[in-house]
Amino acid sequence: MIAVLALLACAPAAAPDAEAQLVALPAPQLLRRMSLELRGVLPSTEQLDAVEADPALLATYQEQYLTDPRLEDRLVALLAERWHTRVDTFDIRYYDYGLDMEQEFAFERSIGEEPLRLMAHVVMTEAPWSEIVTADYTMANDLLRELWPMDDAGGQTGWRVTHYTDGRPAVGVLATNGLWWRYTTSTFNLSRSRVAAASQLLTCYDILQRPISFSATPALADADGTSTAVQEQDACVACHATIEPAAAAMFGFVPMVSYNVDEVETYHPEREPLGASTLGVSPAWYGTPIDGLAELGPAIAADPRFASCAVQTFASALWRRPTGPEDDARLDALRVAFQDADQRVRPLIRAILAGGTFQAGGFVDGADDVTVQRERTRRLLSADQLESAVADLTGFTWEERGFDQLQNDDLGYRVLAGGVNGENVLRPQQDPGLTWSLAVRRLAEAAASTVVTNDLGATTPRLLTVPADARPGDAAFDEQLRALAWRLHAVRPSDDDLTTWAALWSAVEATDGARAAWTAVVAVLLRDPAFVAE
Amino acid sequence: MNRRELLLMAGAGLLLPRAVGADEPRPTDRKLLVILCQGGWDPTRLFNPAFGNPNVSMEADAQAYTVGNLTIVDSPDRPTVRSWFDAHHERVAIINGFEVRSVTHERCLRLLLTGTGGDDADDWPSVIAAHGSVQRPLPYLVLSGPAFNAQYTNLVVRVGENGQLPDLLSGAAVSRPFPNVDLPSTDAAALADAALAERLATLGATAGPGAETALIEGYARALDDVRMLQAGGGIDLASGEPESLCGGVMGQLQVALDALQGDHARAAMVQYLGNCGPNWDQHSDIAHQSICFEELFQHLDMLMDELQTRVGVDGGPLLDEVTVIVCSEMGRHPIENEHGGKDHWTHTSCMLFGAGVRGNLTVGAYDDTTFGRPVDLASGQPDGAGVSLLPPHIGATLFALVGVDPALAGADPITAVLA
Repeated sequence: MIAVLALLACAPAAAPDAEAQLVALPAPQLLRRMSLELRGVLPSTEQLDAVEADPALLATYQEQYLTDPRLEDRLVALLAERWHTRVDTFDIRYYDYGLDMEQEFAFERSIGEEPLRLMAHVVMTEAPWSEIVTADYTMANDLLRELWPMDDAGGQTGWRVTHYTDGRPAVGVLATNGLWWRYTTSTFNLSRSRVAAASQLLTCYDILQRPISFSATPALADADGTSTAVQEQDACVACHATIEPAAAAMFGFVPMVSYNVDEVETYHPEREPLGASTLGVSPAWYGTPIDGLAELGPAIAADPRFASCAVQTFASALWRRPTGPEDDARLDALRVAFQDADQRVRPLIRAILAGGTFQAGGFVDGADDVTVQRERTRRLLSADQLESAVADLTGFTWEERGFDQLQNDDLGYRVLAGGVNGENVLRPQQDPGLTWSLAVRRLAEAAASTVVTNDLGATTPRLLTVPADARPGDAAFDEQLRALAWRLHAVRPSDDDLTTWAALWSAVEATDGARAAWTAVVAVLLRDPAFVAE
Repeated sequence: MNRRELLLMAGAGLLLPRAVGADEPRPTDRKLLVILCQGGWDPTRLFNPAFGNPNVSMEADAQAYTVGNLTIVDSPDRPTVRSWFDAHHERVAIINGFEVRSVTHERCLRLLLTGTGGDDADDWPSVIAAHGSVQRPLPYLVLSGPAFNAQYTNLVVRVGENGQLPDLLSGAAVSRPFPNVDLPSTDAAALADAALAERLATLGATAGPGAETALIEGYARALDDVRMLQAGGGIDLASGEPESLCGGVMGQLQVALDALQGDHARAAMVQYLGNCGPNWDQHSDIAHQSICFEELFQHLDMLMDELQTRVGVDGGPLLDEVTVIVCSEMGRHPIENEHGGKDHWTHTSCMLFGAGVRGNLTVGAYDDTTFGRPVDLASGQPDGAGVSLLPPHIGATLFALVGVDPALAGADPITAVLA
């Protein structure tokens, strides 16, 4: 492990003790993990060959991956697991805009990804992370620009920098409809729940985790009493002294009528002063006075917890597990690297990738039980990773009626495949289960069928280069199996493995023919634990 | 290994390290069925007869109705509710006045089902599923509704919002949108499963500790669960697809009962959103709750009939093996708002019946401000020196009822409820 660490740039200053109990993955498998995390696809055979021969090339490929445009989609997927904005339903539905059902998925995913795309853009352009709460722009695709009050520079397609035209302040994600359509408020709640969401997402401080008892506040039985209690009752003030002043800065986003398109798609600058008068407090962020929403973003960026939260967010995403107090030393080291890089995220990612926790593939003898139970030496691919890796390998994408079936739960299989729905499934599945295995099976079968249909006998095959008439025992057949295993698993297959797959091929071929046999073998390789995990 | 050997091994599950033979004697675990009325019900429509209390808006045409030791809110609009309690009060325990400690739906759901507002806990049914004495293919079957997990995500089997699990099982998930895709034949699929299982067995022999072993063992178990489900017979998950908004949840309850009766599942969840959609969350027109309760009890009427007539694993009625909790993530404010609705309230009620439940019992009570009164856990009666009921008390009680260590819930059980 020490050798591999030394090859990578920007390692944290010291490896804490817990990391000393970890053994790094072999270089080809580590390259595979890096590629899947940063690009969502597998490394090429040539790249695997190269790092197998010279592990020092890991650093070279890591830098390539960090500048790969596919990193942007990966950042969106990783951030979605924590920001939970890629939900399937918003208060405003696709039909409220006159869209048809074929556009439902695009509608929902576009909205949910708006704040995620903004954050990914900040990373990709090497801007400091603070820009996520100070940017004077958002990100939008054609659909959002068509629906919402946004300018149109013209001449561009896909997700690009865009500006709202309704006078909302320059506070990055805090001025996105996508964030506030997910974290809604009402004429009674008046943005208090949005403050809790902002606190959790941007400072990793969960206000709602504070122990409270409403029983200590007998005045709650009437509305006036409630308003007074949140300012005077000790049990309420503990939270609301923080919540009310921040909520007072968010009144431009408070709808006067719920479920109304005009109300919730548009910012209302004229309502800003109502916050202080309605809630009876001056706007502030955790005690720091601010002058409305325009100063909320900078105040959050100046909150010491903001940078720490960014480190925690990306570490947790790339470690594939929650962080805890036992990670403090590791996170401190990463925080130093992040601050030294002026809060730019790519150097932070570089530092995370250089650490033993990311690279872990096993444990030293005598590793303690706590470490063994906590560290993810093998990580299930997320639904996003499965989808992008399989599409890249085979050309198969699982869509139905306009829905990406591994990215929704209305018609699709996102949660059943281990994904996060942003509402009541908030963490990716870590270990296989029944529905996961079935989703993986169906994906593998369809992808295998697709690639066999397209590749066998083709002049420019994507994955299968074997002659259509090759049989077990033929050099070309055996070489094809070895090549598949190497490409898909980043592990040289054993003779026993080759025998198993060849036996499967022969058994299926005997009744269903060679194409079905290759379909079965490719599907099994795609279902293999060495493929579905990293 | 030849084709015949592969097929034989696949069929017998011999390649699967944790397969459970169908003929092995199976100890009886008590099971749990959760019926979640998501949205926040109004206890003053059923559980809290606060007549004469100036701090509570009660229905004009309702009155208190006592049957056995239970006193409920009765209304001419809810004849099924009254008749249900007439018939079944001896088996029913009501818990009044427990405090969820939030007034937001998302947080309340998590608190109700896990006892904590954070995302690092498993919900009560998942914990119960994880402590079964035998392997079941559908440890925690979620027909509809939320499931919160940290450690036991792989034990939750969701049918999907629109019945996606049956489509995955049948292959329609792929064959419907891609009619030209050639799915493997039945034999080829079995051969593939056998080859994969053989590979898992090989990898399992040398897997490192922790996540690597969890991956291999979990995968092997998942394959085994699929095989058990397909071979189990008698359970048709397709009939659990969500029905029309006004169609209720009868079909889902039937699937849940099939799974529990067949010992395919140890816990199941069915979400009842109220009459014709998400109508428990009545910030206006609170009177609609009456329709929701009436319809809910029509479902419970069918459910009780089924539980009493279906035969459980031990040969007795299924009702003696399944504990049922009917709950909602929050209550509603005691006073009607300006829109004729009621806003969120942190104190609420739930109802238990079935296996292990001491019926004809009301635990706890509301005070004049509709806060829950402290309770003596042994008697269930209000007691100023008792404890304020919180979701962990509900969780601990469920654990105790089904034979799981109540300490796992982080609170003492309400022993008064234990028969």
